[in-house]
This record gives sequence, C-alpha cells and structure tokens, in this order.
Amino acid sequence: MARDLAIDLGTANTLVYMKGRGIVLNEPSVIALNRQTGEVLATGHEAWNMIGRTPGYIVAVRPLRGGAITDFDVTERMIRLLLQRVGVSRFTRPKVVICVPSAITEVERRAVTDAARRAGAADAQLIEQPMAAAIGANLPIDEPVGNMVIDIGGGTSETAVISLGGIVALEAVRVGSFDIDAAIQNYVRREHGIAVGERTAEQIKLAIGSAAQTPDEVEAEVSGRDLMQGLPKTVVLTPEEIRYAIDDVVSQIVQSVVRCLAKAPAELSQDFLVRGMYLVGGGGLLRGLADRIERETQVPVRMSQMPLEAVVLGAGHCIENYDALKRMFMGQRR
Amino acid sequence: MTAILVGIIVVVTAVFGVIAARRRTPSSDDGVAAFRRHLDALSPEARRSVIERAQPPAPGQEHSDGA
Repeated sequence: MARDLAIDLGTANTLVYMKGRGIVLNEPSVIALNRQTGEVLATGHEAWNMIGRTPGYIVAVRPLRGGAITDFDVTERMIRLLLQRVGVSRFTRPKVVICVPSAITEVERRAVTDAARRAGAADAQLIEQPMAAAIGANLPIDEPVGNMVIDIGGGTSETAVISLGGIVALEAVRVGSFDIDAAIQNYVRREHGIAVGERTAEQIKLAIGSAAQTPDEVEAEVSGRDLMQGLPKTVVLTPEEIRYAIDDVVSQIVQSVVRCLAKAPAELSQDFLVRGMYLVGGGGLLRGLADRIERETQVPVRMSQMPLEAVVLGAGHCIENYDALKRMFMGQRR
Repeated sequence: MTAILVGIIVVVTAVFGVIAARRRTPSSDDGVAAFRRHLDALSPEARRSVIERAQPPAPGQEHSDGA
C-alpha cells in the first residue's frame, strides 16, 4: 500500500512529504542528462553540483522556470525518479498533492498533473502555494481574521490574504530569487567586465546581498572570466553595489505586496497592523528584505519559523486530512 | 390476507423512502457541517502533529547513540 505524498515542486528545490512520516526528501530541482542518449545521469544535489561545469555531452537543467514546467518530458522523468526514491513503484501508486504558483495557467496546471500521473501517481491534485504556506506557517487561518503571507520562491513571489480557510486577496509576480541572481550576473558583466556563472551569482547574493542596509556589512572578492581578455580575473564587490544591482527585482516584489494590501477588505486590513505579515520561501531570507517591506508598507513583517519547509508542510497537512480539505484543491468545488 | 397487505404497505413505504432519500436536495445543514469540518481540519490543534514532525528536536532532546 503506497503512502500518499505532498510535493512542493519548486523552481529551486523540490520537497516531498510522506503521509504519516514527514519530510522525506529535500533537493534542488535539477536533473543532469546525457545530451546524446537522453539518459538521466544525476538528479538533486549531485546534478546541482554539475551546473556550469559539465562537458559538452552532459546538460544539467532546471525543468521548471517561474514555477511552471518548461520541459515536460524532463519534469516527468524528474518526478518519476523522485517517486522511486521515496519508495513508489508501479504497483504502489499514491495520491499526490502538488503545490503550484496560484498564477499558473490552465495549460500549465494540466502539465503538472499529467506529469505526476504519468510518473506513477494514482491521483494528482494541486494546491496554491500561498495557501499551503499559510497552513505550514501555522497561521490561524481557520479564524475570521486577516492573515497575510508573502511567499518568495525561486521563480515567483506571491502575496495572499487568507481568512476563514480561503484566499481573500492574492497578488503574484513571476519574479523570484533566481531573478536576483540574474541581476547580479548582469551587473558584474556590465560594470566589471567579467562573466560569472549562476552558482557564483547565488553565492554573492548569500554572502553580501541585501535589500536594505544592514549592520556588519562586508565586501566580497569575486572571480570570473574577463570578457575582453578571456582570462580569469578577480574583482571586489560591495554590498551597496549589489543592492543597486538587485533593486529593480526587489522593488517588483515589494510593489506586489503593496498591491495585495490594497486589494484586502478594510475589515481585514486593520488586523495586519496587529498581526503583521509572514515571510516564507527561500527568497524571504534575503537580508534586509523584511525591513524594506516593513518600511514601505508600514506593516510589521515577521519571518516564518520554517520558511523553506512551510509550503510542503501545508500540503502535507492536506494529504493527512485529504477528505476534510478537498475543497482547497484547485479546480474543486469551493 | 392482512399479512400480505401489511407486507405490501411495508415494501411500498420502504421503496418510497429510498426514492425520497435519493432525491433529497442537500440541506443547509450539510453545508454548515462540511464548512465546520473544513475549518476544524485547519485549526492549529489539527496541524500540530504535522508541524511538530518537521521541527528539529529541542536542545537536550536529541537521541544519542552513545558515541
């Protein structure tokens, strides 16, 4: 008998929750393929370590961008391998709840459910990420009070107001922490004339990236390939430079939060001043982001206890209480 | 004769009962109960086991293998 699963199929990481067991898998959403034969060579951490360092016949790819499937076949194979790794075989087909961005189109939804069914799921239901995040962040969403959650993922940023078990207002943009990495890559290329890979850009973000000034700021040495000479070169980057480089992306995220606040009913708006907004998702860990959102909205911002796991825990709760929470699934009767 | 008549009446009543039950439109109580179940399943108490399953053990509560 298969144990049912909840999957947070993120642009950056994939987490799997098994009914009755908890989180059983947490890996980067990356797959490495042999370009000539199409054979899968590695997935997860192993494939992530290959990004930008592969010989010509190997390609390490992220099959999701902006929370949506960009390569259906590769995604299906990645889900199939994930299911195999948590013990699903052709004879044990579990029910699966998958978290997806609320802004995905009907076609994209169908691509996700089809990929999961073809990969071995008996039934695949979808749940909106901000709703799952609010459940996993343990917010009192069963009460008639305004709960606001900001989920900043690798490819999307979603803000939702939730009350009485349903979404009241929602705002989503297809901008996330990968766009911050891309902005850093572009800045270093443009201003310093060196090319750096996406993993190096991510390391720069983690080391000195911030959305607002923070105490104890340090500079960082970054090495890449000189675009003029083609030789390795090292430059020093300051936190101010990185703030300037990523300001456009951060502003888009902050503006989407502001738009969501503007959509919220007046009765719930007053709750936010007391209860604050909750940040979840890896992007929410960017230094100074909570302060910047708080400064621009005048609403307190709090970090969720488990920002990286909140979404899959919320979906996990839905798989534990499948019948009672059926109406939360996308496409179900509300 | 009376027994047959009573039998027929019982059967007819049972058939009508089944038909009526099948044609019954959902009452407002069904909606209330379903909504209540939905909210109960979302209460912090209902979620506790899932959240606790993911939290790291508190300091001093880790299992030690004696190494």
